[in-house]
Amino acid sequence: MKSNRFWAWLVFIIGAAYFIVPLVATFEFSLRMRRGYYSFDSYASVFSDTRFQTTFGYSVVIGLLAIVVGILIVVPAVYFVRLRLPRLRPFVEFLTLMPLIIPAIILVYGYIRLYNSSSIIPFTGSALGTDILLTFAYVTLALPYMYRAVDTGMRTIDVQTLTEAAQIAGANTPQIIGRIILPNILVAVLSGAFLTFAIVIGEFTIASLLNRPAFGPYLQNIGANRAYEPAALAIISFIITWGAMGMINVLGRFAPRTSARTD
Amino acid sequence: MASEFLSVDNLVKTYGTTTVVKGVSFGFNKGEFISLLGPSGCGKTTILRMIAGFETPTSGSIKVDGQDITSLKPNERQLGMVFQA
Repeated sequence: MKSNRFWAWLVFIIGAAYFIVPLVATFEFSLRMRRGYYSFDSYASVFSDTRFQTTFGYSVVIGLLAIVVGILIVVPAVYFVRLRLPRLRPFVEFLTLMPLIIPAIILVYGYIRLYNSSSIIPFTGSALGTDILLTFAYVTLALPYMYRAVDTGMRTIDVQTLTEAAQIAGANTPQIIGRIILPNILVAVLSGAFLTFAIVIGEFTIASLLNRPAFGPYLQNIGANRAYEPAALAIISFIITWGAMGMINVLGRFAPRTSARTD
Repeated sequence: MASEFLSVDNLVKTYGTTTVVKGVSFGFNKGEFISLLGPSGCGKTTILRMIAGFETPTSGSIKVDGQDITSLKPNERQLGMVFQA
């Protein structure tokens, strides 16, 4: 028994060290901007850079838009697949996995060819159009995570009974999805939303090739040109991502306990 | 028959090859109170679900206040149904 616990701890410590050592080393390096003693100069340098503020703000806005569009697409899709077309579930699940199979670079080259300025839908012909295209690209990238989060949430509620009860009370389909289903799976939707956000904040390939001023290309640019700031930025990105993950855990405690499945 | 508030006329429901409800007709007026009695699986719930609009009858019609509601959606019918817990 004792030796079992020893091995369990050993595996845990090795696993933890695998993640923590590079992080601690990065953090330590980010404090070394001044010779001889530790300082937060590199962080001050990052935060005072206006490009950091504009690119980060841009990515936040695109991320929020991607979350809204993603929810509008995924929630009704999962709802209808669960309620009306359960036979389509394996197909839809496979479809939502496609963004993990197809690399982002192939996706973005497809977009550029399909939506170039001489095409029928010239998204890439203007800055606004490219922003819209980027938002949709991020919705696609986040689809596997969003779909799974919403699908899991939908599994915990009795969709059939809720729908029938809402119908008998006079609700039409948009009302059922917006006012009955969505509030009941809100926690699941939020966890999908935070995953989407975490992906969008660090995404480089699509933003770079569509030439949008997003945070990912900025990170890359700083990484190629500065010594200490990239380490500081990496730590900042980690904190943001962890913040998003922490939010999922915190919100998970408020999961609705009403209308749970009874069967 | 025509004066009855809710009337169910020759209602039939078939699932595949199994006929669950075989030509049921009944009706009642406002203020009346009726009970559907029968053993498990005889189609009581199916009849109620067809009246509420959750199941589409294979044939037959349902009228409320003289208006045919057979093809209306559940939320368009002025009907209430309480689910068993």
